Amino acid sequence: MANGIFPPHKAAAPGLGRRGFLVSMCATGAVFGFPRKSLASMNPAAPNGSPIEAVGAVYEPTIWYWIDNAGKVNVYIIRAEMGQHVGTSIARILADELGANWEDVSIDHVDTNPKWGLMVTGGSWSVWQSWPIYRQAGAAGRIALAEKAAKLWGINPAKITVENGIVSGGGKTASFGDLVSGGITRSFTADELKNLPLRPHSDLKLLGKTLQALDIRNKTTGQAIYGIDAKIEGMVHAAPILPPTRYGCTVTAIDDSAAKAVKGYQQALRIDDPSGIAPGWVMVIADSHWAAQKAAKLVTVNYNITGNAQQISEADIQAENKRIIDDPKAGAILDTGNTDVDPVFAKAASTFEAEYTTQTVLHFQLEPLNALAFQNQDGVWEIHTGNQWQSLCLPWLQTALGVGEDKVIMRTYLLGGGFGRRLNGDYAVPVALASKALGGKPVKMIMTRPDDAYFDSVRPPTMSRLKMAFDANKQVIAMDTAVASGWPTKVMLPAFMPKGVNGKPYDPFSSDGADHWYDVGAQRARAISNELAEATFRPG
Amino acid sequence: MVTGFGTIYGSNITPDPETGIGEWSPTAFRRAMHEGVDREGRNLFPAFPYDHFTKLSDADVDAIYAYIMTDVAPVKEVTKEPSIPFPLNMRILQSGWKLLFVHFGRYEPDASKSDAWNRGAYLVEGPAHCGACHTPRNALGAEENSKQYAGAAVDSWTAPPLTDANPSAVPWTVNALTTYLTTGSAPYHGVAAGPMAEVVAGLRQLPDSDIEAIGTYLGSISGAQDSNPAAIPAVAASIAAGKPDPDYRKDLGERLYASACASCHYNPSVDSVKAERPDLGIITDTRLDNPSNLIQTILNGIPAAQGVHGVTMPAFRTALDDSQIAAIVGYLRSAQAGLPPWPNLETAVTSVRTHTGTN
Amino acid sequence: MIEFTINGNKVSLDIAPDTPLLWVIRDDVGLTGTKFGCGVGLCGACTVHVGGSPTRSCLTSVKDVAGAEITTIEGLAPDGEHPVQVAWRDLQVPQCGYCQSGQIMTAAAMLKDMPNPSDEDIDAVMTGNLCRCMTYNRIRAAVRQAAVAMRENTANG
Repeated sequence: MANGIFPPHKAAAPGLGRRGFLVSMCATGAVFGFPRKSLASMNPAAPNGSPIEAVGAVYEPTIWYWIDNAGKVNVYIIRAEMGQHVGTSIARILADELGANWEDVSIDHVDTNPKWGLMVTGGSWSVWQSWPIYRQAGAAGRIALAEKAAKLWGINPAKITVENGIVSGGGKTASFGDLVSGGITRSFTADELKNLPLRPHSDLKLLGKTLQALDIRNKTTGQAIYGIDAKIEGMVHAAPILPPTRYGCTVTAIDDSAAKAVKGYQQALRIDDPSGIAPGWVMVIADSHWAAQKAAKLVTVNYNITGNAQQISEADIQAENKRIIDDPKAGAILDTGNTDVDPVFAKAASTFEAEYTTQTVLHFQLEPLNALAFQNQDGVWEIHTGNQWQSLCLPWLQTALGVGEDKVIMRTYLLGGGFGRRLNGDYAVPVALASKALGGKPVKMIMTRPDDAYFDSVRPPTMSRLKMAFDANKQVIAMDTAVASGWPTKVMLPAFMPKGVNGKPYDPFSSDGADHWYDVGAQRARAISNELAEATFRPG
Repeated sequence: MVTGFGTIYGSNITPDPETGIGEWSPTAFRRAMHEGVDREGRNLFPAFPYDHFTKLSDADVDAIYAYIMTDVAPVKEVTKEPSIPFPLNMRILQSGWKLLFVHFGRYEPDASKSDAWNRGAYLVEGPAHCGACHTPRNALGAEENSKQYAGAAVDSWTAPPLTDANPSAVPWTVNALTTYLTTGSAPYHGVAAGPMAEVVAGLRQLPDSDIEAIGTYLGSISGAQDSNPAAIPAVAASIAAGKPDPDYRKDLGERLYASACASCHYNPSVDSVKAERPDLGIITDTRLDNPSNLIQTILNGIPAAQGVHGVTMPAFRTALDDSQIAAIVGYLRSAQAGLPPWPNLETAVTSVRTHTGTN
Repeated sequence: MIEFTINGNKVSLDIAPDTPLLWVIRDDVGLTGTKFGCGVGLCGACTVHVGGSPTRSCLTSVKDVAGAEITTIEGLAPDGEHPVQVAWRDLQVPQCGYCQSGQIMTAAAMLKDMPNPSDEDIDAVMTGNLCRCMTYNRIRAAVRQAAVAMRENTANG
């Protein structure tokens, strides 16, 4: 970060005092040791994040929620909360279909569990993908409650209505709690769920109305709990020393003699990452975050650097984009119908050609990257962090730690901004490895702002070359585009890439729009991966 | 104390008989205070301000002697030798210095002035020795009598002029000076930081009447009368210049000011200006000939114990580099104070940042 | 030992004097509503009140607040019902929420000095509090609404 906002830090004076907290803080309302260890989820409406506790035996119409004997409806949310109030939106869909009283509804952002399926939050997918599932789930509960009431009252379930938390029919009414207390065992198969009758849209009462999102209050009182606030009894603090290049660095020597003067400094750990996600890291371990930060500036690390990534500039990557676009054989050809544009260009009355570029873009979410990792008493590795794509990150963690999928779990926290940065959970891997090196002791890492920027999986520089062919009337008769950049999907989840009509895979997120649906005659869209960019940084 | 002539260390003046002044008689002590010589008759370096203490009454000097001998715990520590190079380190030369520059003798009241003025003059010229910092010194380190209270550099700070040459947008008056010396801050002038913070902390021990007397005397030196700040063009200009500028991103200094400073220093009108919301185009530091005080404050902040008591300004030393601080300082000087730019600001920031003085 | 008051409670810490107040509040006092954003005083997420003035705690050494009275978001109003907080909820200002403690603390301090701020005043004071979610329009509206509420409280009170 030469000449940037962040000047190079000078060596700080060693800590003078014994770090300790000597006066009782009981009156300040301090929350020590947020008890996430014992929880399996997070309720953004509770000051300590604790999910509501069920009264009596609950009824779970589907895996997505339960209703308890007090009539409370607790909705499980697998999407990350990062400012979109997604839990409220999804719970609202369910509550409306169910006929619940909104006052009785709470949300529960769950930790990873295979039963939830794909856990990812991004792409503006959450609400529309959840819509049918949570509508069906709500309908299942509504039908089960109606059937229960119908049986109790000896009337036809079709005569029963469920509105605003009250089940009524034949002149009688019952609350959700009344009916659940009586025991409901109705279950639904996947096929049944798909075919449940849903309320007509005109009957929906909650959706489309203004309400206060359930996570708002805590975000105005300082009670909202983000990954950076995670706390586990006995944890140590880690500050990373990042390698000079994203890939290709091996630590050859660590000199921490100067760091030993910092009160609270413990050690500098060389992180060997079998997953290859975060090679060349050193983690400086200390009693406090501030001590770790101070000590990290005093540790000298030597590297063996292979490759030339540190000499690669923005201009080099754009030059490579140009070079690969110039190669007519490069890249995947997307399915746009008639892709045979060359004969059309050959006979065109006029043509137009232009190149468009975008520069590297940082995510710069306000909460710097952080994670807390440890091995719990059941031998399971717990990763406490805000993350948008747990299903992507879990296999990396398993590979890094050398354990099976039942031995790693990611706990859920609020995200101080996602913006796509936390789709890539690379930052959690070295923290887990630091904990492993310490025998499973809880390790919490918070990156500095410069480190967060330096380690960002940036949006890569892109180049698009556009060629248009026109007839004598200036009408478009062909369009030929080529888009080049580093591909995030190729780096993070290659199996996710579809194949073009020429059989080559491509990253749909890096070429979206090139295969548009406007009628331009013959249309060719080529998506080309910039391997120089992919070897230099982790595109995001 | 780091001086232009070398580093001088404060002597051991505890009543320790071997290394301190425990064996000194009241007469020897009086000779030191009034004449600048030690018990053996050797000249003292004028870093010890006997040129001011000579004005103290015998009774006050005796009272100081009594205090040291009875209330100060003896400490056994040999005073360090000063690092003043030859030949300036020859104490015999100090005799000539005294002859040339020191006007020995007790303070003589001016019957044409009020009691408060006379009390203030006695305190300012004698024990408070304000001129030691606020009067420029000649090449031999003596206060220049012709430029009394014209302002001077001290330890990479600037002691501003106390005369009508003081460039503050709102003149220093009796009231402003008294408020500043009593509370450590004055709404239109700024706060006491660095060496001046220690002065204010010391003055807290005095009765209010003495501080008012000092304000009365210093106010007579500046000669200014209270006026309505809102009617002063430089004040109105600074307030207007502080309004948010849609183009603020174009200038580094203005951008940094908007991000790091404005939340505490912006004023919609002169009505909101107060000591803990100082307007940076109005205060003395931005308007001095030398940027050192402004740079000092940005680098090192103001602790809660200084300036407005209980209020803190963060220290930007670790956050901003020299060019960034120079940009903020340059922006404040040109845009908000509307004064000619200070030259070589980045070098000035580097110099203040790396200076290790007593303050 | 460094002593100060936080949210009305006296604390006394044996701690490295150069430790930023931010980390003392978060890790030693245990109040995590005050956030770390940039560490160089340019984003405002760490804003607390020291002696009633908005202060970037990431650049304020704990030694410099000896004897001072500090207020964090948790102590702004005991029940979370400060007029600024109420306005923030009415208008649903927070998105991800990470910057909001700092925004609220800066706004609350501003309204003490400027009871009737114009949009220009709000922009000038709040520019240094960054919101990556871009809630700025709602922040401005909420400050205006809180100003009205605080003036009414004063008038009735």
